[in-house]
Amino acid sequence: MSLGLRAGCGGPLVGNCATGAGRRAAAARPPRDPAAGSSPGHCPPPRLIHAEASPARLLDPYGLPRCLRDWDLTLGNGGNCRPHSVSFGATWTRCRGLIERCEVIFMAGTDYAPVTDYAAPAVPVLPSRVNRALIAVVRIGVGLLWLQNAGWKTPPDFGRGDPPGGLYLSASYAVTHEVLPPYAWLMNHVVLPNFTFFGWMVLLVEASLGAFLLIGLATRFWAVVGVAQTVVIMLSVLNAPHEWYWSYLLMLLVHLALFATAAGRYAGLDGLLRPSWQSSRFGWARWLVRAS
Amino acid sequence: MRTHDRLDRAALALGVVSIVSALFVFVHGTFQLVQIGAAGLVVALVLGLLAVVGAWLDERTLMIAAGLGFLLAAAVQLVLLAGGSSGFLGGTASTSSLWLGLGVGLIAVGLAAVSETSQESFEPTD
Repeated sequence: MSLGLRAGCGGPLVGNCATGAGRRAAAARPPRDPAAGSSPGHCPPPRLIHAEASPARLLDPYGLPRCLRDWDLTLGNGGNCRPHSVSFGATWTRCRGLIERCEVIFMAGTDYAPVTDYAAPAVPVLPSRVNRALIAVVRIGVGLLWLQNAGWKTPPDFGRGDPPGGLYLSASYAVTHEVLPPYAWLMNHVVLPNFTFFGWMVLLVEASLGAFLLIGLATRFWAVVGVAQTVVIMLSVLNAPHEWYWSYLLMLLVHLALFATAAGRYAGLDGLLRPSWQSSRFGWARWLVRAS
Repeated sequence: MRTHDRLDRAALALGVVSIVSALFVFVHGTFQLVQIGAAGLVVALVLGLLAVVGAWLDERTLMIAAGLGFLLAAAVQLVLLAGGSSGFLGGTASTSSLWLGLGVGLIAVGLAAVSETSQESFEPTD
């Protein structure tokens, strides 16, 4: 078994601060003492024996490195497990007014773990519990918005008929109440003549938006999809009668907020499953880390 | 809190959401977020209970089975809608969306390869 490291910087006494600067840190595979004959699983939790930071070599009142670029840590388990040294690079910004500390989390079965501003659970984007709960409420609310509005997209014709209705009528507003001429041309010559296909695409995208935002899985990716879908809707109906354009701008803005706050990490599956994705070497897991 | 417990709680929450969604049988009008018919009610209750039991017993197989059931129900509902009606499930694309979310969520939780002992926080005290 090898060990991986995930490191974060935060204030131990007065809360956490966002300090990750987006670098990757790779921890060397720690040597095992064959003479000891003990499996890593029998080793007690490792303890920090010595820490050295360069080039700043600054230590905080706890004797831990702060505001550092390169860490050299010596760790030991005691007992039969001999100490080992670990070196890795990281760049952290200074947390003004807070006492910084080094936090190392050991992850079995990994050679390294990426350390970025989105990777360390010790550095939450939203330190306040109330704020996290509110962001979760916003995410679930937006998910319900898409979920409910998938309901009036009715296959197989999606409202195409005489008179037109439903999704087909909304889409045709892009031509009859033009917002952007190139988009109106695209709708008139490509989308509306093949509306069964595009109707299904809209249905699947909006149903997926509702599903994934509701459970908070790959939330940042779906927030971007939500932005794109909102723009498409805006380009169709912004000049239609009885439309309040701010409603679409608000939709746009709330998806940006979901992206910026990585809303799935709070009461969502992103927050629950990210640690396992971060420690995985599979490509899909790395994608999910970025998408969450 | 141990990761294992959190996974169970997530599956429990998803199961409870499914059971609560059955209440939309009695809701009509503006706040009818999903439309559920008689057979859809059975799907929501049975699969929701399966997820709850799976979470309660810490049985990943039951969670995944419930998730697969939801995905199947979502797909069947879409196929029925493509035929031009709500069919025997009595739902809409909203119902499919909800079941898609529950299905994907339960499968993701059930398949999460998390070892309870794989992560330990280390805070030096000296």
